[in-house]
Amino acid sequence: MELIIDRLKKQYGSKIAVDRISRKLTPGVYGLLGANGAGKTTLMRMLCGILKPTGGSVSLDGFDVSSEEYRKALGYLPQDFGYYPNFTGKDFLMYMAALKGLDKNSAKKRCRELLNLVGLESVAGKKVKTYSGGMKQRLGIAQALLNRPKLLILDEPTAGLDPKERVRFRDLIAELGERNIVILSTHIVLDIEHIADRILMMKDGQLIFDGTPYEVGGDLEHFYLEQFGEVE
Amino acid sequence: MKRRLKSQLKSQMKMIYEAPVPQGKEAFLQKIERMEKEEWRQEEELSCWKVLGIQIGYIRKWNWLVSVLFFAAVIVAEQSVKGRTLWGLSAFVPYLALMVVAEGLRSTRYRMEELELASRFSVKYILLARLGALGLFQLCLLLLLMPFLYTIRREAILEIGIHILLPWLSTVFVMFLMIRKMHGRESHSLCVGTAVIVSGACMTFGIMNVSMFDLAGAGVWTLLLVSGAVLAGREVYQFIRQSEELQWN
Repeated sequence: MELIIDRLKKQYGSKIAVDRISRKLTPGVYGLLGANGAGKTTLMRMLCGILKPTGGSVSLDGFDVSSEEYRKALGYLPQDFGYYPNFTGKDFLMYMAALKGLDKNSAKKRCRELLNLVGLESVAGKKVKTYSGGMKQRLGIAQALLNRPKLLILDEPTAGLDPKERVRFRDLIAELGERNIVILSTHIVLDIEHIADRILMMKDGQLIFDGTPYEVGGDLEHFYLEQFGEVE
Repeated sequence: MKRRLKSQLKSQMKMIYEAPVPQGKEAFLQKIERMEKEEWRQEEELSCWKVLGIQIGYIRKWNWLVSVLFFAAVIVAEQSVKGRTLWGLSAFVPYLALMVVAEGLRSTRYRMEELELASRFSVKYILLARLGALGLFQLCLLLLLMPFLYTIRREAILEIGIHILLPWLSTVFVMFLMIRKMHGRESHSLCVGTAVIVSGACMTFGIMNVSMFDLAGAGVWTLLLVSGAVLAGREVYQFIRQSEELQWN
């Protein structure tokens, strides 16, 4: 399985948000680090096919990002998402399951599994508006996993999760990364340090580092701050 | 001491009892992968038509109810209160159009756009279901009203059709044009404003007791009706096309 990113670019007028990024990603966990405005979310949105690139292409096993085959294999958790009022946790997952093409019986079974996995089985019947931030985030993670994605893109997935939930999440991602491509962006360097097979650092729309945590040579946070000139 | 003895015993046992070489490991792992793919393929037996049908189920129930109540109210009013102009009926129609547009904008309003855009059956299906189903339902009700009103009022069918359809089509056209040009919550307010203005204009003509043929000839009104239909259809199409990409904010 391969995700091929070929000279991907996004430009708005004179501002280049993503500057000709090319990479070939195979199964594993990729941690995407970068300051605010580096282009991480723009890159992720292009990899999900929800933002059209100005140039370049993205394909998964030969299927272009605009194809239904690509989207069948995609799971995405945006940085910020809403929900329709009056949806319960279960309603939300069933709605997303329908959009991902799961039939009703499979969707029910899968929703039950995922609600158990993310620890929301006891509140599945309650309205999403009553959930805490961490619970909403877990619900978001659950919807990203509905269609057993081969490519999982998570934008700030641990935001709002307490330490215990973050450890649980890390274990889940590490397991998923064994056979799938997982790209996660976060400001919490510790999360990436523990589970990422490769670190991708972005600055001003460009990839300034692509390597393993070992190549960083110890303290990832120190290395990260060094790249951005915060530490001498 | 105990721990050291235990680890020594472990290493000795490992030397004596060597694990057999795995046989058929690759085949077994491939079998698991095939079974997972088979399970995955069985799970996703949902055609785009079924998805459309499911999406129609998510349209808010009160949208259907209000449309039917409007239809029923017109029938009751026409049978009980005589001598009113058709402008009164025209004044309510823009609010029906507003309901259709509001339903189409729910993804933006409740920040579900990104999730829906990244799904297999993307936002195009959602919008087709919401706008197509509700819009067609309302159009059918409005078209059904025409022969009914003709039998009661004896006004020309063309006049009735223009009174009913033109406010609806022109409101839809203007609303979708504004939504396409102006992203964000301002467009929602402007849509409400459009409905109020079109409705207000119809009510004003009704109060002044102006006949539509005093304002323009039948040919002009017919042309406006046909243009309204074409422009409204075009704007809805452009809206659905544009919605397939997240708009930069």
